[in-house]
Amino acid sequence: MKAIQSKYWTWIILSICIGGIIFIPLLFVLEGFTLSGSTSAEIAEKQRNINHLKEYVIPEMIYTTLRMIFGVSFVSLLLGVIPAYLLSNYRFPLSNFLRKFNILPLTIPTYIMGFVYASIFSVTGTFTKIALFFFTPEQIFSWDINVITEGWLMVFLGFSLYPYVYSSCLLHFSEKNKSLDEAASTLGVSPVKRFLSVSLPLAVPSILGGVSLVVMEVINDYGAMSYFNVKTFTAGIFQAKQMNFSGSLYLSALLFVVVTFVFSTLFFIRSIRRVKQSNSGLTQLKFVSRKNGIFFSLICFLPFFLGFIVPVFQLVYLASNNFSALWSSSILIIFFNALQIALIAAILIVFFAVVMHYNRYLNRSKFANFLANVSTLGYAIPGAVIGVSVIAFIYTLDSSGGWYQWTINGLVLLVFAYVIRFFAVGYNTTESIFNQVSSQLPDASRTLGKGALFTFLKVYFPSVRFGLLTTLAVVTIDVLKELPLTLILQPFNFETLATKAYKKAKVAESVADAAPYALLLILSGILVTLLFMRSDKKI
Amino acid sequence: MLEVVNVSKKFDKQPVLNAISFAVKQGEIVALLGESGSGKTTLLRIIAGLEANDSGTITVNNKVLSDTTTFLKPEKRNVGVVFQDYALFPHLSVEKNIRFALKSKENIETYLTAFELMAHRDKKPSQLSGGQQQRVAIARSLIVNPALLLLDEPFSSLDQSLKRTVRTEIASILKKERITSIFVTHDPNDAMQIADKIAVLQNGKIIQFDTPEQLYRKPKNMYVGNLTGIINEFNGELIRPESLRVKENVNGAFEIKQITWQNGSYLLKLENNNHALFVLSETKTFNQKRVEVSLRK
Repeated sequence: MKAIQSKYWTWIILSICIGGIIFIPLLFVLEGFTLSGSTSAEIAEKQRNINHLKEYVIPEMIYTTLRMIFGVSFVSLLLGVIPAYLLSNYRFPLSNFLRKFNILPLTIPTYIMGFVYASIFSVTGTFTKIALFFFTPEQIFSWDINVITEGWLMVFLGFSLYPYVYSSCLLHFSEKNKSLDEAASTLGVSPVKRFLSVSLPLAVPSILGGVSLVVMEVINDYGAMSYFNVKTFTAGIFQAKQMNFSGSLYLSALLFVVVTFVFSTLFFIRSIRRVKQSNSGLTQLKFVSRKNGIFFSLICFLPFFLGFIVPVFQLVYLASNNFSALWSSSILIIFFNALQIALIAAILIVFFAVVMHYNRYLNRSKFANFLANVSTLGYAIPGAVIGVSVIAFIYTLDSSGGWYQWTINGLVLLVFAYVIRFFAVGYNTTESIFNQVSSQLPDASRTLGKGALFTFLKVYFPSVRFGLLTTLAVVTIDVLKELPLTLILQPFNFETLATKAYKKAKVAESVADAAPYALLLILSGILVTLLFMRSDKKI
Repeated sequence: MLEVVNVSKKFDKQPVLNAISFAVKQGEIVALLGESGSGKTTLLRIIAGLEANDSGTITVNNKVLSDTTTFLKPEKRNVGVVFQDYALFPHLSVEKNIRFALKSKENIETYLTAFELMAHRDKKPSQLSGGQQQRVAIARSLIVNPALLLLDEPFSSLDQSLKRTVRTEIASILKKERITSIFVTHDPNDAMQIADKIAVLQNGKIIQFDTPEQLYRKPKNMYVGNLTGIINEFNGELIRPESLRVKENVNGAFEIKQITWQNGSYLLKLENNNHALFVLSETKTFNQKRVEVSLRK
């Protein structure tokens, strides 16, 4: 008979509450599949809407979303895998710099990348201005450049999202068993064949990990899709919401089910493809000839150039024409208002993540793991779906509409939705910090007669407090960048840098006006990324 | 003092410990000896309360720590643990680490002196050598007078020269203070030199629990025999090389295959129809290649 293990109930109950707060509202999106209504006419109306969506809207949305997913993933793979391989194996000019900073394009949200490139290639854009030095206006106009297409959007989104593939591959290639590569080279296999037949197949789980994040971002994106008029699922949810809520709820429910299924499958494939490799320490970097070195530098510099230098320079150029706006009080007020809300959400997320981790450590049960896994589902679910779920959830609690007031005009609701959406970011970042602290420290405290709370306050928390500050910063920036969720739930008179940049670019059709907001957002992202790099070294 | 009766444990349906039973008397030092994966650290963690056993009973001084109805949390057991990498709190000084478990501001100078840590009391653990860190970890565990002290691979992270010194130091502290203790090791030398008794674990079972001397002289099987030195199977018995002698004989059953120097004697490797036998000899000069083997009287 199994011994009755004395549980730490306070922590279990706290974790169940957190799991419930994060997961249960998501389930309310499934209401979209039901045909509830107060009158039969209402039900018939809903049925008609859904039939219309099924017949005319959904098939096209599915094809467009799939095309975008495959296109952006392909570009991300192209830009991410090869630089990661070269930078984790060879030493060449700028390799140290590029190894660190090829991650920076992630600081540029997809919607900003989209409209910045659109502005570069517009009729009066930077590209035309540069081309005018070499060609006549007639020649340039005869090219008939139009980048506001689905194909170009795939490329631009790839510029922004390839670092997901790059960073997971870099980690894999840096920690791989170098003896495998050496064994292949002693068998006379060429470097290219070694990459294709040994390194690449073993990197599949890492590549899939990176690609799954790219896919999440593509599904989540609304700003760039709407700017380029590409009708993906998320764009469809917004469009339907303008007509009736039941249509967008139905689309959200559908997307929720598809996304949950797709990511469970991806997770399963990753787990069965994961080959256990012995780790022989970090790979020694090999020197290459001068000619190859320059060639490798160019290959690794190109994604960084297209994904970071070009858009940042374009934004700086646009903002410089409008420099006073950058420091105007309205931008700063928007920034600090949004920052307050983002910080509140981030503090809640970090607190919840720490409790969840500590519960997993204390109770070491499958249930504790399950709670953690379920709570991190929110990140895979697009922001628009979370926004719609939260509305459905609150509406079920209080169908009179009074909810808007008791959530302090919607702000509490927004924070609540951010917590659901970004809990996984906080949880995963916290996990990497906790993993670097030996579990023997709290074990030691408890065998010295100290209880769970004392151990938490005096041992667990002090060991990770600096790491938690980094987590707080990372989550805050992610919240500040979030667009679709904020657009759905933003209260009247409340703007963030993201919503303002989007509205200036899309609604006012002025990328120059959007530039100061976008630049401030990117700058905050860069600061946090640099902070994260430093703290990662220190831990 | 400590009684472990029929303790079993599975991880993901995989048995890790299988009906483990043994007892430790007051003041005794017991070693849990086994290869990695034999279950020795899991057994230590179960005694400490850091893992729960699936079945069986653990008592200390007749107080039940864990059985089918009771499970005392680690903080309620009064069992001290010295962890493999010492688990010193990095943000606290040596003195604060040692004081960690104390409720009052009592004087700990005698401890600091006894463990030769007086000069290091204000240092952080990262500023100490491996041996000093280990002394802090032991002092921290002993200051609360635990009924039982558990040490997880206490010497594994020390280099060979330091290991000898620390091993002797720890043995003398534990013996002098008559501290009942159990330590986990994969190194038979550690176990043989410090422990009063050794429990040999293999695949989650104790295959022999005996004094070091008995373990050496009367190993239960080849595995235990090999663990504690070179062993032969000779005439159906397990015999050590020093219990055999050789005599040159042209018609002898064994052929000398190899002679190596070992601790002041010569170790002969003999063979007869692919059956190898090891014998200690005072000499390495033999006129004949063939020898006969008999038991020393």
